[in-house]
Amino acid sequence: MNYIIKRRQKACPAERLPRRVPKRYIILGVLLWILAFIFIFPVVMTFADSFMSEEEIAQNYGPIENNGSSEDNGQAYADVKLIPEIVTLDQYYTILKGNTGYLMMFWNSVLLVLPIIIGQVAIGSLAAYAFSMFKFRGRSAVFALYLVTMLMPFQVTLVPNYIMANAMGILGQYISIIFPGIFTTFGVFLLRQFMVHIPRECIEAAKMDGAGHVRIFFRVVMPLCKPALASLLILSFIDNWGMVEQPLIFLKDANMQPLSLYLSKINAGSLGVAFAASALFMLPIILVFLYGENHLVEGIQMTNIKDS
Amino acid sequence: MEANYPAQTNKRKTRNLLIGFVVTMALLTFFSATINNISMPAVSAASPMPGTLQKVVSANGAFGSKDSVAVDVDKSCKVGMIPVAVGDSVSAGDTLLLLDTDDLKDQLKTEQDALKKMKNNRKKMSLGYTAQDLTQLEVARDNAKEKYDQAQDDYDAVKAQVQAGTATGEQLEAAKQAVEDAKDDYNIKKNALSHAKTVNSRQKQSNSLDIANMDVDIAAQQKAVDELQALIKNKGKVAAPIDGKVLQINVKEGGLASPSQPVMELIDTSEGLEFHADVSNEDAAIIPDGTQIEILLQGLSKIIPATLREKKDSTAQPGQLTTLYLDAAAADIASAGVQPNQAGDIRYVQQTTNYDTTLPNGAIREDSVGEFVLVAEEKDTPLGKQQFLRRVDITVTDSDPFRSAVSGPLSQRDRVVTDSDKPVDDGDKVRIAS
Repeated sequence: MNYIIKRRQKACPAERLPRRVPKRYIILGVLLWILAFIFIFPVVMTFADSFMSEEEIAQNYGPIENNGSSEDNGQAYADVKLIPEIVTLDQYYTILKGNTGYLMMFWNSVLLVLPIIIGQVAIGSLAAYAFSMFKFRGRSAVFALYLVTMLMPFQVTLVPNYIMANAMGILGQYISIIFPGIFTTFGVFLLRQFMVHIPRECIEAAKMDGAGHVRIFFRVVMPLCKPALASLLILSFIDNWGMVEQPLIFLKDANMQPLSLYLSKINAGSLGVAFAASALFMLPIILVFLYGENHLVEGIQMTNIKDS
Repeated sequence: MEANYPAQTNKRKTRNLLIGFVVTMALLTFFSATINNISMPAVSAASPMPGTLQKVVSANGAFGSKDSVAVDVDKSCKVGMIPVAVGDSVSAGDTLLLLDTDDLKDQLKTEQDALKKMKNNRKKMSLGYTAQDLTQLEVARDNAKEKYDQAQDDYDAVKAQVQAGTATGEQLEAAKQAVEDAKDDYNIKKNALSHAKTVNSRQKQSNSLDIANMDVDIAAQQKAVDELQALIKNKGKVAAPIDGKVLQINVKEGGLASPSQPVMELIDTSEGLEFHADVSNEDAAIIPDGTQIEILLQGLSKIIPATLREKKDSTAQPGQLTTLYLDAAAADIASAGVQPNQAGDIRYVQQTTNYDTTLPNGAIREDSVGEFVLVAEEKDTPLGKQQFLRRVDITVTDSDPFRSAVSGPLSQRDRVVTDSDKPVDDGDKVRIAS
């Protein structure tokens, strides 16, 4: 955001701004605010409800839990409140107090996500370097295949992945999820789009200084790709932190399942726990996003701008 | 660079928050087991098992004479003097204690007055016509009959004389009048006798039971008076009924001797020793007569075999305890040096039949509803697999000091809580201690 503001300040000094904002901008702004509110409200509500007592939550969401009583003619409405009557940490206490199950799932998620995003960066950057720097026959065709794979929903590849994992004897292990996760095409695509626009002069200069491809890759290309790498890390983390289908299919042992499957085990009588668990589940994503927000915006923006 | 400064600060804060979050989760994970152990009740659990129970009956008792005689008094009376002490040997007829004669005389006077009163009451109840009265009435009736017959004969004679002309009509009238008078008198006497018999018959029917009871009471009272008179004549002496040894004296000089409690107990020294011990009625029920039981002699560190001869309701706690009487061989008793009142312990173990479900006694709980156990069940919860307690109502069919046989919906795969470090109840979340 700061980056955008900085660029706008350079491009449009304050004295050049029109005094009256066009109506379409106002309408657009209002629509964006409404959209932002719609997207942000569930997050805010989750955090607010996580500080409510179980009784208060039952009171607010009781009609929904009961799925509409006969007195309501089957219609159920929740009493959505963002301000708790009494702020309590009971739900967090319940989850975190010596609860090895929840904490184990948290670390399961970490064990799954970290190798995937590190692997994606490693494999994706190397592949992207090859696509962007080397000229070989069929490069465009291979990249087009990559794009086709990326366009397919990942559920399509679940069955082949399952068969392969079974054939390799890794079914039921983390590696059965990590492997398909590492070889994602999105990372290759994102980094390739960034790398193709690295000035050739930089590469040529490095070559003239006697640098080989390994040195160029690590000393020239990777430092220049920091925004794109950050984007990839953040997007990959968000994507994999919330994965549900893969662990459900590939992991049979409940002790190995990640935190993303936790909410599916919440029953109607534990809504308070569900809110607190959801808040804790979202917290790493939000923090990671906020931490890499600048790089994320910059990386995607630069890629898109230059593509366009 | 200045424009980026707030952004860098926010980024640093966010990074610190992220690191803090991860570190917090790591610390919570590290201490999760510790927190778990501190906060959650730890329970010990056992599975229901088939098996037998070992019923153990243990008791302590003492040796005593096989035959002891209780010395009683017939009347409540103040004790004058006790010339014997516990342990003294006495012969049959020896004086065991002397009752206070003044007290006896007072009682005699009271009893005599009561007897006199009872006799008077008896007399009142038997009021009516005595046999003597009836006899007199019968005699009077018979006399009247004779007079009537005589008057009738006189009248017949006068009538013949009148017809012969030797008597006048006036004489005939006078004779006739005499017959009438004699007849009236006879009828009166006859009716009086009949009335007396009727009265006696009615009274006999109505008072016969009371009178009979009163006669019995009078006889008993008379006997009491006679006994008191005999006791006074004997100067209130209570004599030893057998040759023996004074085992126990239950009264004191100046105290009151009562027929409800023996004043003394004598050991019959002519008989051998027996061992007796009090046990609960339930324990006594499982030991059959004739069972061989060993007696551990306290202080002597010797064991002698004995046989259960009989079981009787305890005199100490009737209805609650049973006294076991065991016989030991005279040779064993003599060789062990057993004396009267020698204390000893007995222990009897009985193996029950096989039960399908037995549990440690610690697992059995009871409340106002009945007996129950708490079964630990593993449940998949949003917070992982956790142990919850479920109440299962059972019925205890038998038990020994360690285990109980129960009936109820339990299987051998259940884990029944036998102990816990904190109070637990149905629905509680617990952890199973290893």
